[in-house]
Amino acid sequence: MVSTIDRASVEWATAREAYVLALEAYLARPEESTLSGAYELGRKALLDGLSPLDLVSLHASALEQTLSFPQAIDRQVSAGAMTFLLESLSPFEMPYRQFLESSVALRGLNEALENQSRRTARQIHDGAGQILFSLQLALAELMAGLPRHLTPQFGHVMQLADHLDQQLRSLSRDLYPVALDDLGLNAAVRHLLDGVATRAGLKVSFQSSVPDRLPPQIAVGLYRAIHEGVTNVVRHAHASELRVSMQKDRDGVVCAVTDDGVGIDNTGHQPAGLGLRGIRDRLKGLHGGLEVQSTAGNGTRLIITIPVASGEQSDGN
Amino acid sequence: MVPPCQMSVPIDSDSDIIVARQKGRALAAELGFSPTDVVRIATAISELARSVLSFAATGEIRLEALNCRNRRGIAITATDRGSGIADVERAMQGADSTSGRLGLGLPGVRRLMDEFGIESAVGQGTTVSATKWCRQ
Repeated sequence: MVSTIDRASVEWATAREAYVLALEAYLARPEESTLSGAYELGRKALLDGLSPLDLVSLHASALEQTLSFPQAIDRQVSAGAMTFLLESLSPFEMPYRQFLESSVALRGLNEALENQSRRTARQIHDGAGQILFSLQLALAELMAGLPRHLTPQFGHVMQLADHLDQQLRSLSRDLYPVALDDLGLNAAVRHLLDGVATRAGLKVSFQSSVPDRLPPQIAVGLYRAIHEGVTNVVRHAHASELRVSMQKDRDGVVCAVTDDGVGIDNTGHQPAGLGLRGIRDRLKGLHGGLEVQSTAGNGTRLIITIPVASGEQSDGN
Repeated sequence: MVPPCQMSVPIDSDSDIIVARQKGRALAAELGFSPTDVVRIATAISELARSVLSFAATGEIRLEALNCRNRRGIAITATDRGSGIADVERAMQGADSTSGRLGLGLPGVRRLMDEFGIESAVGQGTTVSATKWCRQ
């Protein structure tokens, strides 16, 4: 059965030839260097869209050719064992296909959700935000012409408008950082830090060797992680200085958010922990990671890493 | 040449599953399916026959060789006169059992084959048809 592989495709023949060579090499010299050939073949098969069943079938076919030595074990036994293996592996084909199907569906769903958030954020930012801005201008103009005794009450109205403005901005930013699309990653981070410097009175510095055009999901992930880190510093660190640096190396992006605040007390439960978990979960989705370096009283440093495949950069989107 | 071929295997016990697999495997090999696809077809037959036995206790599996516009294929039809499936969509999601969550059963057959159809009426029974085409 397995010996009569008749799939007439060129890819199959090429894959089979590579498999035979690798298998023969391993059988003649069974050691790690030749064994890694098997790993590479399996990896390539996976990337080429072969299933476990295809791979075993390939193995069976290659084994049959390889075993045509005089000293080979009984060929019938070998072929029989292989047919049995093929058969016993076949149920795995169903969860495997289910996994592929779900994985595609999940990616589609994630993209749809991200796009929806982006549209809603845009509507809040450009629509409601602009109307509110016009309202604030009109109020300011009105206030200038008001009798003095009405000014305090009117000032309260303007404060309410300011609160509304802040809430809309925060809502929009949580949905999607619109600034990323408008300014690019570096300017968006700088803008964020300028805001923090003004509002929280922190001394901030920013350094970056990261290109503005990263793949969108990586730029969003990085910006959100930095935003969360910076928010933590403002809320909990009691710091006077905040430094953010971003670097791009061969493997991806590394970003450090450093403060000179009270540090994180690892023995107690701090509210900052929740935010950090959020960052970690988000980064995990991008195969990235988060490292927290902190000692009580000596500030905190967050190291955010996100891998970027070399072909993934500057896609111009 | 492909012989015009149609056969039916009654499914009443586990040993009938083996007969259906054997006939399906032989037909698929004769039609020129690759050994890997022959295994997939045998797997689909197993799952269909198993579901006949589990949900209706008795039924049949029909195997048919197809030759359509120079394409060869195999059609497998599983029919039973059991209680039928009340919610086909839910059954095809496979959320109600461990094997279903692992993608086995009818959803597994759908993914293994190229075409899949199911008709079921409560109290009258279920017919599942699945077709696979030979890759040239």
